[in-house]
Amino acid sequence: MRAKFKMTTALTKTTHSAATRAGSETDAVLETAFEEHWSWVCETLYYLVGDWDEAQDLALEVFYRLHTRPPRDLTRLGGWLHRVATNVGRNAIRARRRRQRCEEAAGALKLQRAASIDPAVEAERQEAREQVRCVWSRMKPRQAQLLILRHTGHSYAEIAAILDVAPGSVGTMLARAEKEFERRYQALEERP
Amino acid sequence: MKHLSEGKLRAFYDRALSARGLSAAERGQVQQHLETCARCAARATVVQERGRRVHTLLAGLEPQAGAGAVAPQIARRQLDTYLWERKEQSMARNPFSRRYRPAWAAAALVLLVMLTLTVPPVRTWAGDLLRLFRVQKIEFTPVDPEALPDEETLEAVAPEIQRMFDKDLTITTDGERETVDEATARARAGFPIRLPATEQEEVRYEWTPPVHVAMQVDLPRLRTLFAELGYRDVELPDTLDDRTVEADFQGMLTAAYGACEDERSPGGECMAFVQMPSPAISVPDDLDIDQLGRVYLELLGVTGEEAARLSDRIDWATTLVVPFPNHFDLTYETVRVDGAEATLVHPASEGGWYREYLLTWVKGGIVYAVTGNGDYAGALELADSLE
Repeated sequence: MRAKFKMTTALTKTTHSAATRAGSETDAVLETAFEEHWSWVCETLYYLVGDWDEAQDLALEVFYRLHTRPPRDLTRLGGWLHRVATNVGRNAIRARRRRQRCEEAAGALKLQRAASIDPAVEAERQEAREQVRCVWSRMKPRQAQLLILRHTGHSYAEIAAILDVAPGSVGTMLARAEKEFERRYQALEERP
Repeated sequence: MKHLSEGKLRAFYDRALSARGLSAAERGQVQQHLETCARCAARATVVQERGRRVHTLLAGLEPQAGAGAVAPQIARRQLDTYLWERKEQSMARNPFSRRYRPAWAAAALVLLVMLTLTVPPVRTWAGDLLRLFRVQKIEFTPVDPEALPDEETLEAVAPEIQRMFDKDLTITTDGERETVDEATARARAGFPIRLPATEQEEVRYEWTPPVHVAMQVDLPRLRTLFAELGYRDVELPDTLDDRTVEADFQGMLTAAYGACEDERSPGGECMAFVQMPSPAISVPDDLDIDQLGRVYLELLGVTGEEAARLSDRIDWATTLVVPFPNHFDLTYETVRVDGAEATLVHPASEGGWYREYLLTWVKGGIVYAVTGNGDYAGALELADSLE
């Protein structure tokens, strides 16, 4: 199933001069950013953490960083927000995982599934989701970002603009990212 | 036609998304090649199947229907609350926040002053003979910020400190901080630059030129300041007046790795690696350094007995002792990296607002530090991969 949300390409074309912006202009940038980016930032983070409340808390952290440490180049605000959101999401998953390592979390879910009266379909799905998040959070940042961008329906041109790479190299990067993701996923699956 | 790479095959199967990734002509050529090349056809199947499997796994993370984020207008108002909460928490928990900055400024001042303090009165000044110190080791000493002068007092004396710095402190720099490439950094440094053996993405180098700092002691002003800070028992000898303490920093290279928006305040996946020759501090030759060290610790709130015990252990001529606030959400530990003993400062608990870490060590007369935000495993790896 194709993801239902997508960063609007117009967002990546907002033009402001970092050198001349000040006070009210910064506020205006923030207002516009909320209107245009809030929803997809939340949805991207939901992908990563699987909980709307947590996703919105993390999205506020993303916009807090925009408010306190905005990027020098606001012409690529969408790409900057996506990168920060991905980093914030990865850190949230890692913090969660440090409290309970991925392998242990997946193992606990296996036990939960075995002990449940329910056919445990939901528990099985939850286990799979936790494994995917675990694997994803341990990948190189750019590869992790690439997988989410691709899966949420961005074109190669959009991905290239956000990651600041040539459109012709997206296929190669994506193939490597998928290979790496699958290698890590299989390694996690094969753990006792 | 050459055999097809996995990247080209990936773009080929993403045809709906790759209007600019693979042209119509190229797609035709790929199709034609796949019909005649069994090797590439097999590889194409692998790429296509793998892509499907990964897509299926990621699809499990998609948001469920019927739920969603709050409206942007509501979120915008929530940010105002969030900003206020962050400010409050930051003020309360960040030891480097504005609230505590006067304490750190005072600590730095105390360090400078202590270098000129406790001269045995029976000794005479040895003219311009200077004693040279070089930092060979950095130690962190837990101190209770509550034992330092309170915020109100520090705010009150801040203008006096500023006036003292304006009048008595001379800072001479040899140029401006600038972004450079690796070759330029090596040429400017004048010391052997060490970098990680593993290739890093998105590296930026910044060179900070040498700085010379000289402080001339204005004794009456210093006595007034100490009295206002509450250090009424400290006796500053008359012979201190008009003496000069000097510090030489030979320049510093900062390498910022990752997506750093500002390498001076790294966040997210950014790490900053700093290296600089150990600063040289010149002070009058007739100082009682051990006594000076004990007083320094006492001024930082360490009790007399503990200060004496610590002072006996510390070689003050080669060790920079850094006060470490002991009730914040921070902790530190000794680790071994790069063949040397290092100090790692990191958040005491996970999930807190304070996420910065610092790894620092001294080796071969060079001070190294790695700072970043979040997981400090990368800093340890970087330190161990230096060549």
